[in-house]
Amino acid sequence: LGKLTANIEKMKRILIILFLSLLLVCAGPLKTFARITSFSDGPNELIFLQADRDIYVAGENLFFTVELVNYPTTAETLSEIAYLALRSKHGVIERISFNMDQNRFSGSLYLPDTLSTGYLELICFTNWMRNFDEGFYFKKTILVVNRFDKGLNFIEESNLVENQTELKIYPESGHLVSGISQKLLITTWPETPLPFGEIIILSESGDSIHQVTLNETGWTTLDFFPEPGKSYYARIRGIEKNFVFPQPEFSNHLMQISQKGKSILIKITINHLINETLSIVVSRKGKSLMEFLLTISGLEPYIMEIPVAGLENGAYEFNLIAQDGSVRAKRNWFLDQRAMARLSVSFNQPAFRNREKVEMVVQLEDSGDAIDWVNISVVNRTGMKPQNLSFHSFLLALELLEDVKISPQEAFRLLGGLSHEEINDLFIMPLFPEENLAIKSGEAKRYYRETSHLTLTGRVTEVTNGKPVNDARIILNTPDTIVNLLYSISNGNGFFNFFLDSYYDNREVFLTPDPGTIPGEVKIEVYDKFKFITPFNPTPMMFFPGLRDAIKESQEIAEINKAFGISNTAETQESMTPAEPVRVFSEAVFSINTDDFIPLDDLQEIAREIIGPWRIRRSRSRSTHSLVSQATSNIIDGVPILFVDGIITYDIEPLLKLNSRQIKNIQILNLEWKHGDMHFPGIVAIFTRNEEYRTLDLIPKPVRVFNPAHHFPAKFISPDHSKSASPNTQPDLRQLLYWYSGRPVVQNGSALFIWHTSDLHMEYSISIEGVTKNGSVIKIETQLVNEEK
Amino acid sequence: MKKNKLNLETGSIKPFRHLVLSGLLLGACLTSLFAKAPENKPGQPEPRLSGEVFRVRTETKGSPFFYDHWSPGTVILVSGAEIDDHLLMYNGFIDELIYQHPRTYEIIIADKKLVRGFILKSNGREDVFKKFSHGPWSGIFRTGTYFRVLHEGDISLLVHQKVKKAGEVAEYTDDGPLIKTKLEANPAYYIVLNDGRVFFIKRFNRRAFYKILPENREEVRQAFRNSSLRPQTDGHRAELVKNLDKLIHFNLPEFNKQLNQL
Repeated sequence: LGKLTANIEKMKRILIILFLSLLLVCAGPLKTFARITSFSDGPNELIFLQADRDIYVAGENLFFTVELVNYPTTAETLSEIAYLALRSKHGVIERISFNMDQNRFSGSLYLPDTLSTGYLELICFTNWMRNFDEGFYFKKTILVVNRFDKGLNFIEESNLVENQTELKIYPESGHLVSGISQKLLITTWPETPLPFGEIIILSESGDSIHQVTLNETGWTTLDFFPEPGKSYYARIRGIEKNFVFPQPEFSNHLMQISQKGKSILIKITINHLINETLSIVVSRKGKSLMEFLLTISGLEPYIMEIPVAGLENGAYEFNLIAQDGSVRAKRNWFLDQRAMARLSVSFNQPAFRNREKVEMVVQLEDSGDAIDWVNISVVNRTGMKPQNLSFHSFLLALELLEDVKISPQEAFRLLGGLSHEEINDLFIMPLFPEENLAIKSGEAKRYYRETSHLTLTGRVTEVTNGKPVNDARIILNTPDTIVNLLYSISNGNGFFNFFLDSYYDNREVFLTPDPGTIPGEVKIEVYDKFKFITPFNPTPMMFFPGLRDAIKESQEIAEINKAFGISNTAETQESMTPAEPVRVFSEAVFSINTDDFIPLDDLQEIAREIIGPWRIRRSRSRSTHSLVSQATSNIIDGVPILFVDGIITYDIEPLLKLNSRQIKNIQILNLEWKHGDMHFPGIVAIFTRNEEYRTLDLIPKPVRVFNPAHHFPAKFISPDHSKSASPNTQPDLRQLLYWYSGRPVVQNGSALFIWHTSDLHMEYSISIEGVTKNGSVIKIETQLVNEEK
Repeated sequence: MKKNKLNLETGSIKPFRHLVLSGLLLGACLTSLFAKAPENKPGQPEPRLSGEVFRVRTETKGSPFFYDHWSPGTVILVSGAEIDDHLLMYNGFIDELIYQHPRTYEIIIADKKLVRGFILKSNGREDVFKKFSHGPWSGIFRTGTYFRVLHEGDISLLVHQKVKKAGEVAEYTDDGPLIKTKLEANPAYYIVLNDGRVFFIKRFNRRAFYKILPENREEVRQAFRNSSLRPQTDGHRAELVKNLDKLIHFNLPEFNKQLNQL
């Protein structure tokens, strides 16, 4: 009995370990990123931002290009206004909004030179995207180094290998098959990513067989030949821990997949003599699409070709299934059939010296096609991460969003920057979750797609119980010498929206509830577009040797540019004339300047002495006022509406103390007046000399919000050294030689781009990305060497 | 002109009930559109009309209005925003646009300085009224009068749909004798050339046009031949000016450009 109890206890322990292991396996991929079930309720628009570099010195300009794309379906209208925030762990540092032209925008953002060294995050989004999870926002981490940070300790700190790093090994088709060369995915991602970690593969006897370095995301692949009967393990340099390989299997199948033109090749190799009938099942999004029966006999590899015509781009699952239903091998594959434009890039000379003119010609090989738009950057390589998200890889990641079921933000972070081949290498590991975790509740949409106007969204609730107030009229004014007014009616959830044109740019706006439309005391809350729910927890970048010197050089360059006042930017003209305000009335019946009269001590005296139609009656409990109608000479029913410096207010009591020294002008509209649905039993507009509205306790108390204007960012300019008169007294130390985004002038299928080299001798990376008129993707990476004179 | 009561109180709009109902229906449709989730409405503000609530009761013989009934139409504000869910009337006696509030049915005189123009839609016709107090004609029409545009081009034909007081008449009612103001339509036509010259035109005959366009006598003759020889209606007059506009080639593109921006 004792033995039995011991066995039961042993079984229990095993079961608990198994259960915990299962939990770990299941929870592993889930904990790192939020998964979403369907994009059918998604924002229909996603945004991509390309910055010129990843590492900056505080005081420099960050140049960026933004692309707004439809995803997954075509929306009737896309937003035309987008927002960009720059934030640190502690909060938002810079915030801008801008108007896009044909879903595109190119501009710059000044990085204040007071920034301390650290990671910052760029967040780009539209107002419409605020209706959805922040996972749909575009986010990019950059490193900003302070000019005076000479220690650069963050480099060592970032390169420290942490002991809790876990390494996983995934064989190409699910099993490690002995006696056959196969691809292995070696990864620290996603649980404990260790970018650029050095991995040593050892045999059971401790002999080092392979050495590999993980990529920036923390994974790599390796062609590996497991010998029969042997076992292997791996180690990470700097960590005293062994990571055991899966045991090579003696009798199993290796399924390898590759893409060749318009076909997918499936190669099945076996390491033992067998005669067996199997089936290959191809599925997508959990649905079986096709099945092929095959009989394998002998040791010869079985090769099968599946035409991809008719298959959509996306991630497919290939399963090799035995007759008993067991899965012998499995592999995920990303099918991408998008056409890549074939083009050539040529220069006017093979290498360049200081301040030489570079003429770059981009020529499409297909004469029936033409360049539609293109982004070009020529930038110092040391300012860039080895793997960088490009527009092309952004589009690749988009293709996979729904299949891999991760948020766009995570997809861009993990898959962006990878080529088609690299994505398929990563797909060796199981990326398809068994269960999906929805991240978005079915909340009502409250934010508008902004096309011509900025919106201001808020909510009105009862102070006593926090319940939303329906049908409350919220009035918006801005301090001005004219009576301006917008109003919005709250919906069942208490939400209200205002559309603000350029009249409200860089102005304070005041929101006042109309007392006749609210049940009692209410709270008005305005939703800050730049308030983010997800905190910024930067993952340190891993740096390559020599970066310290490169950053020091960048600091010196920034210092020199600062001393000479060089920014390589040109301010854009704010061509837009401010919009006209929405006036309640165009002209008052009476307009009285207090300067024309002797000084009077309070408002009642002013009304009595110099404004005939305005009657103010004061009593101990409360004061009232009325107007005599200009049209009928009778007193207008109701209490006239008051405005102080353009801000509406409903109680005269706090204003009574105003005297002639404080008041400059009073306008009286003693007519029954209508503005939209609002009824005014006459209007009294008081304009003060010194913004008295700031100190008066207006009733009801308005909520004050600042409405920042659109950003008209400085554009990048490349100095023209070809001009003979160009003075040589000013240094030209540019990390960014050229930055272009737009539709180039194309002649005979080729486009010419011209810039000048700087005084720096360094390697520049040229990135050309875009789309042709026929929809082919343009993507070319090349180099430009600026040699020393 | 028939006897008309210039009674603009809410209770006296029964004859226009069918129009009010259709207006209400239109309003209901618009309200339902605006009530949809934000995705169906890109960020555009809802423009609003302002004006004085009109409660004065007067009685006249003859109508002060261009149309004697409410017409659906569009109001264009000086900001360029358009409002098209109101019932409108044009009062030629006071040269004001009157609208009916779509929800309270109050009668309101639109704040003229906030209105650029309006369109009255009645029986398949669209009558465009513009106020030329902005742009190149602002110097010509300083008063901010609403003009009905019969033709707009290098040669334009505008009409100020004035209604004048033609005297007073006594009528016997149940309450006893009543003195009423007698009103008469008194339209004033203006030819405006693209160089900014304006001509008041009383009679639509060749001689009048020869005076306006002395260098284009042949074109005037041909235009009269192509159109009705004696234009009696506004339609005929508009057609005549339209023909003239086609025949005469002016060369003042900049002025035209400004004009089109109105």
